[in-house]
Amino acid sequence: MKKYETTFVLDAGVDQSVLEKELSIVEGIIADGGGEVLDIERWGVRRFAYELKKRHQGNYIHVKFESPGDIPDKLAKTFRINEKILRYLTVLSPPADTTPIITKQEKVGAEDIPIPVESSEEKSEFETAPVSEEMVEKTPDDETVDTEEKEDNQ
Amino acid sequence: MAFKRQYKKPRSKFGFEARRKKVCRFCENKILAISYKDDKLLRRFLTERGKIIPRRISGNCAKHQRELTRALKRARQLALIPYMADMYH
Repeated sequence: MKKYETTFVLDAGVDQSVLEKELSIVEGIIADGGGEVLDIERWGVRRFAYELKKRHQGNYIHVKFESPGDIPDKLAKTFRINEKILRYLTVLSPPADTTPIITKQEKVGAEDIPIPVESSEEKSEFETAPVSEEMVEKTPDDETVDTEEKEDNQ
Repeated sequence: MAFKRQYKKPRSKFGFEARRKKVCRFCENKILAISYKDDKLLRRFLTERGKIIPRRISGNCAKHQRELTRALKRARQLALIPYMADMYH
């Protein structure tokens, strides 16, 4: 019996009843396999970071459970077949599960701009200066120090 | 072939000082947890284009950089953070 957590995403516009139905199916698979649901988190509708299945937002459900090792695979098969589920991810639960509170996005749809670069957002304990592409692209090798290749090949 | 050389001294050639004294922020602050669900934290380790910031810039230790990368890639799959972010120029 291991601890897993799975996240799956439904269309943003689905009815609550449909959502609950899908959730109960998942719970059923877990229970039937000899597992136990530990926690259910409904993250609600979130905006996607990129267009996914022609949509821009989706309804996220996160389930923590404990079960024998064959269950995650069964879940995956079910998720794959189900057209309503747009994405899924099942993972071994991290040992020290200091689950961060899912950052509640402000009114979905309010932001039409892409991922904002760190600037005016609230400064947290640690600050990261925005990293420019230039900084990333350069490698130490760009500036040859000792070995001057050009000279060697002459 | 130029061998990969770990630069040890700060170099102004790069336009920024590579301070080797920079500690891994996760080692320093044990409370800070890396989770694929925490997009707010994860975003800080992506460039403007959405690329994962390399260790030599982020200053992370090897272990945490690995964890971070794993988390970032998972988060990408769940559409919590982008694969590529440079679409509106």
